Amino acid sequence: MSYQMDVQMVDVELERFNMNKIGLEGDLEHMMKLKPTLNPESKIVKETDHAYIYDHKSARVQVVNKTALFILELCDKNNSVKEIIEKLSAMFPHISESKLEKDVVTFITDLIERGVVTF
Amino acid sequence: MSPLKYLFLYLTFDCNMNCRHCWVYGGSAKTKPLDTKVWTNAVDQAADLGLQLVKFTGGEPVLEKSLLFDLIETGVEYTIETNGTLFTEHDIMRISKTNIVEIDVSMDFPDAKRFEAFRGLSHSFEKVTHTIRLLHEYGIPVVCVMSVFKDNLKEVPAVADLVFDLGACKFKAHPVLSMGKAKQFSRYLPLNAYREFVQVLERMDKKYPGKIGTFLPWALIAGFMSNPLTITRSVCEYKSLLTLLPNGDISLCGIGIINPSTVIGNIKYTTLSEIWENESSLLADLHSMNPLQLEGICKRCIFKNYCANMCPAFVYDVYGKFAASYPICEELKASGLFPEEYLV
Repeated sequence: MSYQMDVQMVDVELERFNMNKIGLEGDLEHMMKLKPTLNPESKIVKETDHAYIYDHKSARVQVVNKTALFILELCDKNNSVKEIIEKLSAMFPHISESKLEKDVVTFITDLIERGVVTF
Repeated sequence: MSPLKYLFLYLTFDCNMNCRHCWVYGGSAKTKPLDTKVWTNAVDQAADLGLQLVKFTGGEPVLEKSLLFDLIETGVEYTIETNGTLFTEHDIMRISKTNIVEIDVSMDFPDAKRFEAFRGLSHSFEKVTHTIRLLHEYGIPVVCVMSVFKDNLKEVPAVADLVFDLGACKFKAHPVLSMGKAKQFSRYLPLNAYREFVQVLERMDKKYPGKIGTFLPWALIAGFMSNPLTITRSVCEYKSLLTLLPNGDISLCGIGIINPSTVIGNIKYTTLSEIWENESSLLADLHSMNPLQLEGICKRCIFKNYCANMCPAFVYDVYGKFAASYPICEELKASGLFPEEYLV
């Protein structure tokens, strides 16, 4: 699996999600300790190269790539955000930790905003 | 009040072809069109309500050529759905000087013999292919639309190759639906062929990226394609459109001819503003239709917000109401052929 996080989430209607638009808010250090979990009202359908995430509350569907799905599957209440970054780093040692941290925090922040994961 | 973005004008139900799958009873029964002034007034009224695009259709709208040109030369942005047999080069030259957005031309087979047998008009294949080429040469975006059924499923790649070779900018392949006159048609795409149909479209999408479109539910595209994110899906803009039928009746679309109970007024006796702003109960039902409150399989599908129920007119024709589920998905589900991983 190659690392692809530049555009990792798209609406099924091809509305591209620009992760740079969502700023990092709150206490980053505090966020690193939180253990995200998939909202029980969300459903993931895995495909070969991507997955669909359905949020029951909004009835919206997003498409994520393999890297994003890997992160999402680590959102199981057992891994803190910091641990998720560490596991991703082990998988992609050629990607700088600062980039991984920025990408993961931004992605998880977005998942929270969309109601896909909770803490 | 939301804008009335789209106005469909069925200039006539007359048609020089005789297609068994035609859902609006297009044919040779001559109907007297409304005066040009009635049509132009309707377009003016729609402009005040937010009109963005007019679609001319029928029947064969080019049979009312004089009326058609009176309307398109008013400066309106428009599309035409046509069988492509009646345009002269002079017509196409005139069209190229107007605000044409695209012309949709029907093409269902890659050869004259089967095309003309299906469309019921001799020597039409050569005329249609000539028209497509001319439209392209005059810089008019031409979209070729294939009605897919049992006997031409295997021909989808050949038809796509043909129309792109002629200069089409897009190719759309839609399954024939069992509604209106087409209920008598017996050669529908079998339920167990939908997977093959979607997979053929995927191969065409790889060959012609961004140029393939279809009118299929998201669950079938997601379920039967390995990478469904590039294909174009047509959707019904039912909350933003009204239709005028040849006799002035106002409806959602051609459903007004096959189900007269869906006619909500007549342009000879009312205005589009009155219709749009004082919603009848039928129009109010349509405008308030919430995909989350659909019934049946649509209610359970994760893509309900994106399909709604695909085609409220087809749904109405089958179930007698707009807010029901899409019949094809229901039939696929009943046959064990629906990709159930998308149901919650």
